[in-house]
Amino acid sequence: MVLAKKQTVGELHRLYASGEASPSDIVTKALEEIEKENGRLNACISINRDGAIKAAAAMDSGIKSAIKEKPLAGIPVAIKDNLCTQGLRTTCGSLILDRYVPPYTATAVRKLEEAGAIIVAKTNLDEFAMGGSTENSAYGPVRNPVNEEYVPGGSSGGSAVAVAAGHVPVSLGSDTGGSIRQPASFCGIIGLKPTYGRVSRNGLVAFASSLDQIGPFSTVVPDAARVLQAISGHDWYDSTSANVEVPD
Amino acid sequence: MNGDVRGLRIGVPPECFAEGLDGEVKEKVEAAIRSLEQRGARIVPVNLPHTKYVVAVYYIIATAEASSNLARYDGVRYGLRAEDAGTLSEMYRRTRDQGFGAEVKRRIMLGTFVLSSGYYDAYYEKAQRVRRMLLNDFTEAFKNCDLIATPTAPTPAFRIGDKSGDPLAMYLGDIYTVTINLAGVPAISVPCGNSSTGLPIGLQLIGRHFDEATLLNAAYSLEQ
Repeated sequence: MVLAKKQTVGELHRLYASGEASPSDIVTKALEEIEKENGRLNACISINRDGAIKAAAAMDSGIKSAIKEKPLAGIPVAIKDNLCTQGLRTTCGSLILDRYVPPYTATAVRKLEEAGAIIVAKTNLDEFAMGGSTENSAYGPVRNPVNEEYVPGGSSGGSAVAVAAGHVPVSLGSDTGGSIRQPASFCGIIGLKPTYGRVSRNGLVAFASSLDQIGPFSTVVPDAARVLQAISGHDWYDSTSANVEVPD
Repeated sequence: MNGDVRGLRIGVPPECFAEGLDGEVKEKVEAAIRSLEQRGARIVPVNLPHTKYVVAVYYIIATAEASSNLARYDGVRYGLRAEDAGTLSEMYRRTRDQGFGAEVKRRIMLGTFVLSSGYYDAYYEKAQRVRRMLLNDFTEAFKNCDLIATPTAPTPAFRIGDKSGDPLAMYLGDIYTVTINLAGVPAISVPCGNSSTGLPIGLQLIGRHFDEATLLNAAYSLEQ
């Protein structure tokens, strides 16, 4: 089986429906590509190899029915490393949180997992999301896959690169002053900052609480819409999250 | 989502196509807007008159909030704790000195300064007032249009290291994006071509509060 470099969520679901690929195939391929290219691009701080392979294997047998119920069933995703993931190190690109392992998962990430997504990596960022180039990370600068002498933008540079390089079809970033949209622009992909209050900030390590918002990167617009739909909605743990209907 | 933009009114604010905008970015973004027009959208003039203040306002409010939020990293509750400190305050100082990088320290200092007694009114409170005026700009603009189109960034990507010694140059690159966070509205960046050196360029579409559907639909139209 030969897989194209960049695939959308819809394309992966067609492969699952026809039985041409399983979540284990796709997740293994994503992990291999990240491991192969991370030395060069430095998009990821932590790679969730064991967790992702286990989650994918658990989905293999039921994937044909899962894709009808869950919008992101069996889809590998990358998560900016300022979003808390239970049991998985969350550094914020800072030495001060170098060994921090959160005791809970951010609401947006939990919702993504409930929609069937599999976390393959935590991505590099400007320290505490402060910057516009992903050069201010304690874990080193991220490189733009379009031209490696150039910055990928920031602060969600690692999440933008994970999608632009074709490692995952979608990823999550955070945007306080452009940190999703500007790296999307620099890497040639889609980046969406939702309305303040659309997505719960619970579990997003705070930078500027009246401005922070979580949103998706993707290569095509329908994938961004799919992720937004999955992560939106009111959350008891974030009093600024809004109780507004989430349209299709 | 069907990509139908017929009758959609797209506001184009001249303030976002003025000084400081790279020529190739301007050309590609304007071409993307024309392409939406050819698909049936209507281009209408709107104004965002406070655009010249947005970077200053953002870097007051964001650093003020950051300095408060980052106070929790004291070596006691989370993560790193400096060793060999003789006293509690020395432990706080050493932990924060060793744990934070230069840009984070710069923003904590800026934020602490704009919130400090004697400067609070001059900076933080004034910035909050201008933030309200920015929000009013959007409310006014959205009376005449359904979406606003601007560049996402004034330039394509720059070389690694090119701006790292000049924080102000870096901050000025945020001119078209920070306004959106200050107003709380949604926005999307959509690829709209490459520079002559092959670097991607993004179009930013901005919507009304909780109207991501219109944003996504217009972006989808450009993808067809």
